[in-house]
Amino acid sequence: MLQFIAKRLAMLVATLLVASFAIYGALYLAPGSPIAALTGGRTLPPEVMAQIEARYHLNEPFLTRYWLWLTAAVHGDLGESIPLHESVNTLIAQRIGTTLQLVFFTSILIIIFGVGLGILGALGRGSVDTGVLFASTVSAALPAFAAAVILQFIFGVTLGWFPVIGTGEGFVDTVKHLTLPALALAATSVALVTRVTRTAVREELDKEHVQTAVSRGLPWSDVVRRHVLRNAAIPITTIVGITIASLIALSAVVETAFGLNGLGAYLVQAAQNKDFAVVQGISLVLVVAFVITNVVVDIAYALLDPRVSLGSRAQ
Amino acid sequence: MVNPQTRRRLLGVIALGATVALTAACGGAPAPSPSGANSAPTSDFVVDTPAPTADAGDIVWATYRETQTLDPIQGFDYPEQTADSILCDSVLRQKNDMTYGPGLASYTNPSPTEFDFTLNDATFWDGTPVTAEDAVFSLKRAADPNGGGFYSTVFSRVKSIDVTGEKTFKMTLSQPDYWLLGELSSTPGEIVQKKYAESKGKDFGTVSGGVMCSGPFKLDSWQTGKGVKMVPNPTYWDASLPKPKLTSLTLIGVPDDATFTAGLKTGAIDGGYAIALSTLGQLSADPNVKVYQGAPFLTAAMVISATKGPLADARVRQAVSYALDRKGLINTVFKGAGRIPHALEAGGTWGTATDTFSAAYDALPELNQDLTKAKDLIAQAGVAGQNITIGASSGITSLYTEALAFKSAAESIGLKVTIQNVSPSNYINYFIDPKAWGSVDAFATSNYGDYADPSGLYKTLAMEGGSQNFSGWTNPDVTAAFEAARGEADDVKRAEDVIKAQQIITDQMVWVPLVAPNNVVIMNKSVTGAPATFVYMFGPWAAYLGGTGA
Repeated sequence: MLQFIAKRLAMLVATLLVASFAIYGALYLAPGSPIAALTGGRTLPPEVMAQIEARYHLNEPFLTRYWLWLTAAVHGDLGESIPLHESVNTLIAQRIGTTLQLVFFTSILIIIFGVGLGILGALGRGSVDTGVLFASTVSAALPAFAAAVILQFIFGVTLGWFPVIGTGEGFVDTVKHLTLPALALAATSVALVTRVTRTAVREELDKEHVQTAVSRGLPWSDVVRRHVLRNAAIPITTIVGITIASLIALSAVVETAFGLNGLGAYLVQAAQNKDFAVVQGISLVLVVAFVITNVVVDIAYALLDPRVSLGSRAQ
Repeated sequence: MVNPQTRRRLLGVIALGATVALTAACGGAPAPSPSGANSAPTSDFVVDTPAPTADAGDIVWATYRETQTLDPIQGFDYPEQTADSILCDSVLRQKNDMTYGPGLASYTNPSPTEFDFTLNDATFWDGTPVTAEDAVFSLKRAADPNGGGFYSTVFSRVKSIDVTGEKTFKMTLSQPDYWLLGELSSTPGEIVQKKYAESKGKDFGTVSGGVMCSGPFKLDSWQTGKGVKMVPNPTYWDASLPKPKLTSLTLIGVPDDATFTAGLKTGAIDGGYAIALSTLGQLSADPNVKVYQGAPFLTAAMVISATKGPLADARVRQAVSYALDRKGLINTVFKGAGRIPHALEAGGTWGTATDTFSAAYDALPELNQDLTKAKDLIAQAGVAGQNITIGASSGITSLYTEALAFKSAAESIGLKVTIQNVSPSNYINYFIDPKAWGSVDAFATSNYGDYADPSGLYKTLAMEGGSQNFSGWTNPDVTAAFEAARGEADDVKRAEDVIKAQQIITDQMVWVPLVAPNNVVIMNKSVTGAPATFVYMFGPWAAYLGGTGA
């Protein structure tokens, strides 16, 4: 167990280092100037411009700037946003809550609807299965930004059931504010999880040991629970894990559409503004989230299937 | 991944938007023209919207992105100036009708190179009086080229600023400079508390540092992502301003047209100032929303950066101007909320000698399409078949549409046009990188000056060394007229000098004016009072805000 954790930590550090260099380099090469974000693109007199460039080290060579950032980051200081003059640690802390709430809410929706519909389709056959297939096809074809506008228009503007903007205060209000964004974000993922679950469960149903269990007269519910779902759980866990890990990055579109100002929307905005420290900071959070999700998935494998030892992939 | 490149209401230069498809999905009917796309006297523009009759409670106001700083010396774009203008008083006051006069201080002008200021009995939010120390500190801070501010060149003729008493201070100039008065009624003239600014150091104006000013609103809380929350200042010094009929005002960033529209319709957003909003027609038709249009302050124009080739010839610029379909632009880009310009700087910019400026503007011909004149001019210039290059970014919908209109105008009179298409983030380079603007002959802009006077913009594009003089265009008569204006104490005479320069700049088409976009304010029916003019960038606009009881 300790060895597993140590290995994973080392992997995390290596990933962070490589990712931070790659992202910093990409942003350096990308077009635009952070000064545009400060001035809204208005022209400044050249002498003021030169002074600002010097102030933010914009005229230093790439490696120098990366090194400055890295040495500070190692000491826990992720740097300062150029337009906000605020520490990136603070900025991330102020926004991570919204994104985590949204991702958590969306994950629950994905697990309940994705896995639930998948099992329903696999076991139900006939018109139930057709219904599940149809629903998942429609939702797979609905990109988050389109889903956001449609949901806003139907449930926000026309019916007035849910707020169309903001995050709300307190538990009930927050859930109310995040319902539409979570639904918009979940749409495509639910379809994916539904399809994978349905196939995995179907495959198990056709296996010999299941047929044997059925022919020996074991109760259907026991057969499904012990022989079908347990075996189908591995691929389902994998797809749910990957889907959830990618939600933070995907949340950008939905956060922008619903004015949520979480990490995803901020990452996009910061990248457009070439706000180096912020892009680096949020990217590192994404990498950490991805690695942690993978660890959780690995542990889940070991729990679900005693044949899998910790750290090795399921066969 | 979908790129939510939707900062549509961003003005400055990068007026953007790729949400057209999105907002179309929002179920809006095709936009009816809220006003005719014709030139008309400026008098039918709205200045003040109906006064509030009830307390509005908590108001949420949208800007195209979130506020990044509250430090006035770095307030250079819509979200920052919308907030600073109500938190911090300027030395002079920008009024709703865009004229300006005494504000936090009144002044005398004992000699052309001296201004003596006397401060009113104003107090900061913490109850301490606004002293000459504070004012001198703030102005010197803005003037310091190494102070991190954006306005240091505004003070280029200021030799010294000195405290002369508890409430009085003196500004001594190296040469007369009456443009300074306009600047002092705008963002560069905003006064902050010395003690507070010094104690916060480099955190001053940030989310953690905040500000300390004397304005009609005081900062309540500010969290990035949640907005800047401000509450009325109960001890505000100036009783001539109405007391805001509201509990709090929160400025939030709403980059997306669709979100802005849905928010206004449902009341989640109470109001906002909008520029080239794709859903303006939809909102104008909504009974839950009120749209008001004020006089144009900003200008939509084609920057001419050509130093050689066809566009370096004034006759060719005039020809393309005659060939332009400006009505089409007004309807497509501004959804009808704009006029055909007579010159670059229209009604909203006339802060002094309004009648003089107005008469001169009306005397200039409306820039209507006239293909016969266009063809005559192009024949005289003898450039048919020659090539010009236009810088554009297809990711910035409104500016791209304007570039395309310019292209078809040029092509209709026999020029060949190449479009140099760059990414939205790279568009800024046309304004800051000599290599970029040198590689094209023209590019579209939404532009405005620092303060309410046409010279605020003209001096940047038609003076030697002007920050936006990309083609290096100069004219001795224009230079002389501007020099005379800058040193002229009398408002009317100063206006006349600017008008002299304006005539030449317009005739020579130094930049080609495209549209004079109306200043649009949109409010949910529960809220009213926000002025329909550009005062929201410079003066205490939100003091007029309140509820309708609806």
